[in-house]
Amino acid sequence: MKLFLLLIATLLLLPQLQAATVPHGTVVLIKGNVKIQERPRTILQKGDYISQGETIVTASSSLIKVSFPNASTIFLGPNSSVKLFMLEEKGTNLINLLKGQIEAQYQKNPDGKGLKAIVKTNTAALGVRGTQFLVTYNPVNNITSSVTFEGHVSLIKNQKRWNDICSQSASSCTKVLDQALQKTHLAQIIPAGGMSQVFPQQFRPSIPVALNKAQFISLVINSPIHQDRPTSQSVNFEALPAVTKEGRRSGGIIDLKTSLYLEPGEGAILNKKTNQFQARGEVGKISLQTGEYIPPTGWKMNPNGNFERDKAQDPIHGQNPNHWIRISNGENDNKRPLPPAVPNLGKILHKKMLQNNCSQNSPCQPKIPGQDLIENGGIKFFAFPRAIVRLRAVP
Amino acid sequence: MKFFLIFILANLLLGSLSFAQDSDTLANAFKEQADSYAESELYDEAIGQYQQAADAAFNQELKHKIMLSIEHAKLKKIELNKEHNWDFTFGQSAFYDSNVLRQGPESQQTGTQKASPGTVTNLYQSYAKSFSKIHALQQQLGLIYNRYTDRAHSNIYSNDSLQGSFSFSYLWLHLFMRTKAQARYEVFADYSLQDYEGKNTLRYFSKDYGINLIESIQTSQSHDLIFAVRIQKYDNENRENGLTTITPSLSSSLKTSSGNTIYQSLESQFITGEVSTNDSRVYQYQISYIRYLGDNLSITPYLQFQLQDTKEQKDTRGTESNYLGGLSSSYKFSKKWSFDSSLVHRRRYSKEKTLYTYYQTLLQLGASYEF
Repeated sequence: MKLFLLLIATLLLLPQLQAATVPHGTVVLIKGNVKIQERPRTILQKGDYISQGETIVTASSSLIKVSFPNASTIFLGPNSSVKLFMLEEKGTNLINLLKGQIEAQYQKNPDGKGLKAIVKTNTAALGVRGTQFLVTYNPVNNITSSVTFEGHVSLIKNQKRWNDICSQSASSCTKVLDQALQKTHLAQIIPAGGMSQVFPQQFRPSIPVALNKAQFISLVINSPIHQDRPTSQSVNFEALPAVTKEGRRSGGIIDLKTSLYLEPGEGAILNKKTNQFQARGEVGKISLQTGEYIPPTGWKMNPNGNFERDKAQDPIHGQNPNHWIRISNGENDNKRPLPPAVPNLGKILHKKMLQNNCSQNSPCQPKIPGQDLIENGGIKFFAFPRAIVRLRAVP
Repeated sequence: MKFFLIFILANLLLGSLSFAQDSDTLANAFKEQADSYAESELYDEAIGQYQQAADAAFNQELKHKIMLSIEHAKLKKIELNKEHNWDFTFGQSAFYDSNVLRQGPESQQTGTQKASPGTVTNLYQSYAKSFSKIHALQQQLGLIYNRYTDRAHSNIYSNDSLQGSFSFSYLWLHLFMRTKAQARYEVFADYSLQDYEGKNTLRYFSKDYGINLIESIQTSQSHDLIFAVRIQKYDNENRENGLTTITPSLSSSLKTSSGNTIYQSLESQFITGEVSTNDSRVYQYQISYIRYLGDNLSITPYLQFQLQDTKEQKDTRGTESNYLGGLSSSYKFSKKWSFDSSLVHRRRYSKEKTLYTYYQTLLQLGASYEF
């Protein structure tokens, strides 16, 4: 009997002991449908452990925040997947972003030396010392984009052979990527407020470009990681040129779903105060709740950067957003023809909209204030002409 | 325990302070972008960014400032898009009236029980000028000539008329209880000539003048609530037919997700006659649905229902009811030209059946040209 009880107690304690010994992360926030690929039957809850080698998968409208013993936190957004390759309390952590978006915060090592973590995707690797950043990876177009919220991040393009090494050994992978990230001719350092991308066809990551200020602030203040910060901490970013040496314009918007950068294009204006370009036309807006890019009503963007009519919704504005923005996918960027300036749409705009150049954000305006009261029906019954002596033309 | 509560409260306070600070930082970023668009006269883009700034702003003072910037950008956009502030429209239409009504105040109209075709010629002019971010003036002049083609019956062509209308309005955009609102304060006057003696000569028939006070409050992006009061004095060539009318009304204009408009209005007319037998009260409800089909065509079905308390004439006329249903459409076939049509059917019921009970169907087709 004693032996049996001992066995039961051991069995009960074993997972706890195992969890205590195997490096792991702890779930601190979870919403929606989040699973561990290796343990599909486990229903994750706040406080659960996720061990080294496990893969977290989030469904749409789901998210998870995981903290690690080395005072770091990652936040995985919807439709994302990440594998926790190696979690060491004192060494370099290795995280593999398989798809989607990840935000992470790492505290600097006390001596300020050595990488705290490497976040890799199929096409890129990021070296992290002490910083807060966002990485997105879209497996359809194979583009990795990274935005630094705080501190600096170094970004390199991943080589195929490194991926082969990584698929065999986590420690060898860390070593190879660590060495590569030290090589300045391969890496791009992304300062706070900057964004860099890795394209499959290009050898080096793009030169960091300043992200649209409003989107940057919205991304930072809405980040679940940022919400843990001291209240006095403000949003900071470093000054970057209005146009990079590669000719890319600052002030563009990143689409987290496709990992594409929507660069201000045709007719963009330069804001002298922010030193950023601003796109013309109806190109969509930025969510105040998440910082994500929202395409104009009735349009959706493909991972190849082309906008298409959303069949579920009629566009309020007929102009194809591609006319006003440039989207790099790494190949033949300058040869892409602009879509025509004249909208070619069927049923969308009604008379008043056409006449007054209305748009989603700028609903039809009267010729002078109050004119709509007269023109838009109804009120003319009692406004003009007056009701009591009815003129023949009314109603 | 006290310390714990203080700690909790302090945390909540700091949290909300931080939220406010973040929101205003974001609002200022949008505003900066909007200002830059506005400087470049890209008002559509500016309004979009200002709108996001207003949505993000936590500080009410900042929000108010942004709202004013939105209105300013809208006015600037209007000025930019408009080459001139003048409007001239000429319209010509033909109609068929199944029961020609004797002209006069609506509450006293009677049917002739005779049908006639006819023509209507319209001239309309308006001038508008906004002279600051939130103030504007508008002047309107209208001239309408009605002519019946039945020249055999004097009780038909005695309704030939020429009416002139003038109005002058002051418009003011403002915040009403922190909600966007616009006011219109209008003075107006009408003067009409009519061949009321059936001598093929137009002579002075009536005039009226008064004020309109309208406050339109934007309760949401798609809904306006409109309060209005009209005070009107009406004089007729027969002094006994003079009236003073006070008309309060409440209206609602709802824009549907497809861009169409549903308009409803409730009004009551308090009519006091020069002669007390002309006193009456009119209660009216109307609903119209402005439907846009494609880019250039709009169709508006509408219904109107009236109840009229005839006061001292109650013994003979009773409480009268007036039902009106119609369908109007407008098709813009070029930048300047549009084709308009309307079909109205009216039924009026009264205790006094000979004069005040009548049915009328009116079909009108016409074209107008905007200069």
